[in-house]
Amino acid sequence: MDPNEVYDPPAWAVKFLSWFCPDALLEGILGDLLEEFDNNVNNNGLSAARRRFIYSVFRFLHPSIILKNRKVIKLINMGMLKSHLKVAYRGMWKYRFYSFANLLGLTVAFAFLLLTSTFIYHENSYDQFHQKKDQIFRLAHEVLLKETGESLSKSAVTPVPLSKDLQQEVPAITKQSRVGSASMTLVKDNIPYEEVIVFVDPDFLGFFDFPMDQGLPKAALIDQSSMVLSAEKAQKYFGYSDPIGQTLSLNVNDSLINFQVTGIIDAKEKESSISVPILVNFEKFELLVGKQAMTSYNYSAVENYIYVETPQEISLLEGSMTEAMKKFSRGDDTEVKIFAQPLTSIHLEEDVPGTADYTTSRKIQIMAGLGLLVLVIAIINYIMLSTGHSLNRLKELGLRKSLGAFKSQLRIQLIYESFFITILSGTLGYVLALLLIPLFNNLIDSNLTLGISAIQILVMFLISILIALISGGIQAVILLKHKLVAALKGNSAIKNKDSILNQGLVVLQFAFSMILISGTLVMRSQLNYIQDKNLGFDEDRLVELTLGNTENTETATRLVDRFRNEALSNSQISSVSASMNNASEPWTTLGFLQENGDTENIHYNQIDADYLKTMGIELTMGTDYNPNSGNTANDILVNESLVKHFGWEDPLNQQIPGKNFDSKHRIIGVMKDFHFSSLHNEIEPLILSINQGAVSSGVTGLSTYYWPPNLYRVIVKIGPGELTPAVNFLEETWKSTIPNKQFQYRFVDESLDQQYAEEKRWRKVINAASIFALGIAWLGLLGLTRLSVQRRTKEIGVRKVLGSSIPNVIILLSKRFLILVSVAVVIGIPIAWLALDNWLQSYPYRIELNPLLFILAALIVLIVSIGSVSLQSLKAANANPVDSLKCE
Amino acid sequence: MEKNYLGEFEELVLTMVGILGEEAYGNAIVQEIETKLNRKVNLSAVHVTLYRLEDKNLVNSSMGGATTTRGGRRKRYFKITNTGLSLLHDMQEQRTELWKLLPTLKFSTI
Repeated sequence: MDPNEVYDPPAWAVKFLSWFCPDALLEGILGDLLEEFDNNVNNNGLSAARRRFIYSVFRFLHPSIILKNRKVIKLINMGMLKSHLKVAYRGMWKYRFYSFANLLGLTVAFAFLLLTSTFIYHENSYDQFHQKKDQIFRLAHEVLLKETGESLSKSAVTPVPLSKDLQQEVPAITKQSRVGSASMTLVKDNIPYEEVIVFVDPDFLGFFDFPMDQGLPKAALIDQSSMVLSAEKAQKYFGYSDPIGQTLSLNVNDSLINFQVTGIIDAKEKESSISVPILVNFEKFELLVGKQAMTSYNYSAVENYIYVETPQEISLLEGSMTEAMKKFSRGDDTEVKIFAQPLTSIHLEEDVPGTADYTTSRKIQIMAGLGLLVLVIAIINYIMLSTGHSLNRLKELGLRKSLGAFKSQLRIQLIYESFFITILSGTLGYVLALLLIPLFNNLIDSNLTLGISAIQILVMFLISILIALISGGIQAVILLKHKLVAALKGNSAIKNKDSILNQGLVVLQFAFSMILISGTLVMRSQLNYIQDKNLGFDEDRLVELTLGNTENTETATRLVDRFRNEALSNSQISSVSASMNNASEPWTTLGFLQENGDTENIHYNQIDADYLKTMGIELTMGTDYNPNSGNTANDILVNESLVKHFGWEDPLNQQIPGKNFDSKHRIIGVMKDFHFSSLHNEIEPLILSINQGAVSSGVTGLSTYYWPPNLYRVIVKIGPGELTPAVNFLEETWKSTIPNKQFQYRFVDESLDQQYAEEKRWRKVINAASIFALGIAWLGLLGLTRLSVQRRTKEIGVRKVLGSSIPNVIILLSKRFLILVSVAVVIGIPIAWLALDNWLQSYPYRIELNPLLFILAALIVLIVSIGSVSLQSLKAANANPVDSLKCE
Repeated sequence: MEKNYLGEFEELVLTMVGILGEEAYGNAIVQEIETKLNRKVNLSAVHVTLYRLEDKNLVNSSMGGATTTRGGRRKRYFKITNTGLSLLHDMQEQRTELWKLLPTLKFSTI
């Protein structure tokens, strides 16, 4: 080493030291360090000395040094921060318009982001309250054809004895519970109420952690006549008196079965996929489905849950459960594969759902996408406006520079100012979200609350910092490029052209808006199409009354007849009928095993003779049931789709194919296709019959909401005239003819509408998002135009003096922006087209994508942007050129 | 009563300040300890201790004149106060008292 050469220690380490070291000590310490460094350079070489220096600096990071003579750690320079904040505040006040536009855009975006993230967080928080959630699994089964391995069905609705039998075979399963639910008539003080009753094994409350307000989790359901109520139901039936030990009855096949209330639980509605309003012992499920179904593997009716000690070995367990199932299989051509779904995943399980409440991941993706989209548009806006606007401040920055500010200080000042605005709008956004959450809940039919969770605050804070860094950084780069001191002279070289960046951002913003708006328009017309589509039956003035469980079809028919006789005495009631399935839930599917091992799945509904007449369903061939024709036991009706499915030329002479049929049935008529399920599905083959025995011998599989086959609801067609008196009349008639059942009615067109509630909600959410997006983008464009007009005031004045007309000036000012927006529209259309085409594919009955809708969306975007651009231009064009030329 | 003892390292640094007299500053102390005791100590440890001693009023400090080395930085010189000196004396006496109580080493016959 050359002793005369001067070597420097790492500059950053010196900087770092001066940052944390109190000024009073700095000189002495740094001097000593440098001296040590010099010694080390001479003794050990430069790089070793540098390493040693850095090490020593860090050794000085010691509380007794940092805190020397201080009460607080000055991580940031408070004095400068205060000054920056003051300047930021003054700047905002001086340019109120930009501040307002910036704040509004960001605030709205933050609020929207908060709402969507709350929604997503909520959807992901389902079933998390169970302590042993990782050890609980729902069983699902897949039925495969042995020969070909073809999958016949896959479902989490499984046979009743499944988990109980498996518990015997597989020792790792320490607890299990079936969960079966049914809509039943609950009776208190002779008044009937329709309720959903959930049947579970006594262990259920032992491994699921529904908090018990009263009663013991392990003991509450051991007794077969015990009943556990949710707090809401306890309140409904017993008010403020103590419900424990009280009696409630269930009406099963017209006889009352008494239950004692033994516990009150918190049902955790909207937090639990499994709905538990009223729990009773699973043994009682037999009353509902019959003895055979309790041990049979032919019918899937419940969800099976297991609790295992070793959840990490679940894939092994799946194997051994599948193995064990061979013992219980039907022994035909099929084999059953068992797999386990973790409890925490079933709320998002859309491929193999059970009866538990679930949501589709698509919904969450759309929500997240919308939230981010609006945020991105707002950020773009903010960056554009603040960079554009900050060019106005060149003079201020120039002055600061000439008074001795470093570039880095100016940069930090710009970032601080951005941070000030983002933090402010983050806070305002939170307040806005608080105000909007009832509306949002209404929109998505939910019950969210906006909690101030530490994570959310942290995330908002990080996003604020990020926006501040990005926009402040970009501003700094753009501004500091200019010769700041030259700006003081007043002839700064501000170019009138917007940067490529700004142009790109405008295009991006309006392309997003374009996509969202065309999405709204297409969703709206698809929904209108679905709702206006002719369903093949007449759903107007059609009322469904819930009959519920009755002993058998004879009892049900007797009750319906009694009601019909009374009801038809009123001339306004045109027809009364009854059926098994209702308008809103999927109809029963029967599986018929074929000779070749395949299974034909055909929908089924049990009806009575007046069904076609009441529903207004037309026949294309054959006849309807004739009440006077005597024996109708083997008669069935089929729809056109079934005829087409089997390719029959003469359907009236055919039999439904099936290996197990041991009796003949007669197809007496072919119905014109009607939509018995929602328009999300195509019309599938259907059989209607008065007597389910007509086809029952061939049935080998089943999936249904209602079982056994019976008449569960009465259908009434009301003729012309006022509806309210007709419904009142029906209620009176019901009470006099079927007094032990609650009168519950629903208009069919309303419940059909319910099937599209989801689409309606999403349309509203996307509607809101596109209004937000377009609004923010509009605000941004307004700001940009205004900036460009301001910058060109003098130019406009000169042009006018030289004879330019007002329209010329307007065109001059607007042209560039309108070109940008047009580019955005051109980019947006194909993307929107592809996305929407993809979405429409999920509907078998859908509209063709109409170019007019996209043109309309483009027009909306263009008109909105022309509106904002030309308003500003007009103002500038109308201004007196003398004023603009005078001002210096 | 006032604390009349110091930690080992504090005592060492205080002694060094006393020994070095007018020339006691951070780096000098580090080097002095290294040459006299053949013990490597870290500069920051010495500084931290010096400030602590200063807080206890056992040393006081003042900035020296400008230098040509050390990047032109001045040195912070430390000087032992009377309190510091008497504390060192006290500790020395205490230790001598204790030494007297230590049994003399004897060779025992096996």
